[in-house]
Amino acid sequence: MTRSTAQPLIALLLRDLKRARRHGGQSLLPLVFLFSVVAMIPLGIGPGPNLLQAIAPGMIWVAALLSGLLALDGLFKSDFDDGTLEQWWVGEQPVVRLVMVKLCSHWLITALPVIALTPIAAQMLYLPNEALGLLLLTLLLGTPILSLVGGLASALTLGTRQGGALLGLLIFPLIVPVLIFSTGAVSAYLDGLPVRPYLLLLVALLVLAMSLVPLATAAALRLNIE
Amino acid sequence: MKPYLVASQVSFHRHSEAVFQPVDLNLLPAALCVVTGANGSGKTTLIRTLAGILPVSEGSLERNAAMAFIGHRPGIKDDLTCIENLSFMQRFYPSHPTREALGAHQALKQAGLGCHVRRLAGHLSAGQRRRLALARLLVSPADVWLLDEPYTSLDTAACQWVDGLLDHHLASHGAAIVTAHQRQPALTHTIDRLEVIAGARAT
Repeated sequence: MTRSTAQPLIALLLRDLKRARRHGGQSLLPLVFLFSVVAMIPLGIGPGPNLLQAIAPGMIWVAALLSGLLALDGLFKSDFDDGTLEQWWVGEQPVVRLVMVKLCSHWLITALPVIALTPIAAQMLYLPNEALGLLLLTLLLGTPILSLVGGLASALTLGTRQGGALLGLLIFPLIVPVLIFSTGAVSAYLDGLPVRPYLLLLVALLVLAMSLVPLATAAALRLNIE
Repeated sequence: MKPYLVASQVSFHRHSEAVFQPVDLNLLPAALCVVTGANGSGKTTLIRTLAGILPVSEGSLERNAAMAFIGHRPGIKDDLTCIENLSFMQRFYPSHPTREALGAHQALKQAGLGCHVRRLAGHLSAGQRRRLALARLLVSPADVWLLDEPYTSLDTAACQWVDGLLDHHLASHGAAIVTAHQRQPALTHTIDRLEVIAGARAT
C-alpha cells in the first residue's frame, strides 16, 4: 500500500482515537466494568483462593467480552447518522479496508486497556503467575474476534432503532467457541494438560474471522445505506 | 474532451420499483448540471446513485474523475472542533493532484468561520455547519462536485459564496451536479438543466 492510499486510513484511525480520548468517561467504561466484576465476585461467592483461582480465567474473559460489547452499539452508528459513512462509497478506497480500520480502533479502545490491566485483575483473583502469560495470549487472540464479529452484528443492526438487544443475540452464539477455547486453554494449563490444540483453534478462528467478516460487514453496511 | 461522467438510462430500484425515470447524462468539464424536480421525484436518490453510494439498478454509469459528494447529512463530527473536522476531511478525502488545495485554516476563513476555528462543531448553527461541510471542497479539491441542496440554511452572503465557488470551479475545468429546488445557482456560466421525474410507483 502506498503512502497516499494509507493516509485516509490513518486519518480515520487517529480521528476515532481522538474522539475516544475526548469522551474519557465513556472510554474508561470497559475498565470500570472489568474491575467491578473482579471486585464483586469475591464478595458474592466468598474470598477463598482455591475457588477464585478456578474461576479467574472465566471471569476475566466474561468481563472482557461484555465490556467489548458496550461500545459496539455505537461503532458505525455515529458515522451513519452524521453522513460520514455514506462517503465511504464515493471515494476509491475499498470499503473493506475502512471497515478494518474501524474494527481496529474498536479493539484499541475497548480491548487493549482491558488486556493491559488484566495482570492486576488476575492478581485479585489469585490466578497463578505462570498462567498469566497464557491468559494474556488467549485475550490477544480472542478479543479481535469479538471486535470482528461484533462489528458485523453492529453493521447488521444499524438500521434498527433498538439494536442493542438484537446485537447481543447475534454475537453470543458466535463468540461462545472463543470463550470455551480460551478459558479451556488456561484451565488445561493449570491441570498440567497440553494447551497447544486450544491455541491453534483460537488462531484458526481468528484467521477465519479476519478473512471473512470484513467482507460481510462491508456488505451489511451497504444494505443499510440504501 | 473526455466527459467526467457518462450515465445512460441509469435508474435505481427500491423494493424492485424504479425511484425515478431512467436518466441520461453526459457531464463534460466546465459544465454545471442543475437537477430539478418536485418533492419526492428522486433528486437526492439520483445524485446519490451518481456518487456511487447507491448501486445502479439498470443502465450504465461511467465515472472518470475524482468526486466529492456533499449531502443532507454534512459528515461533521460534533465532538471535534472546526479545524479538526476540516483537517480530517483534508486527509480522508482524495484530492486531485493538479487542482489547487487550500490549507484548512485558509479554507475556514473563506467559509466565514475564521473566528470559530477552535469551536466544537456541535455548537455551530445549521448554516455554519453547512459552510464547514462545503469548506471541504477547498481543502480536498475534486473534479466533480455533487452537491445535494447546497443552499439549504445558508444566508444570502453564504449563497453568494457558494455561487462564487461554483464559478471558480467551472472556470478551472471542474464540473458539478447540483440539486436545488428553491434558490437556483446564479452564475456567469451557462447551466444545463435535468428534470427528474418520479418512477412508476409515485405516478
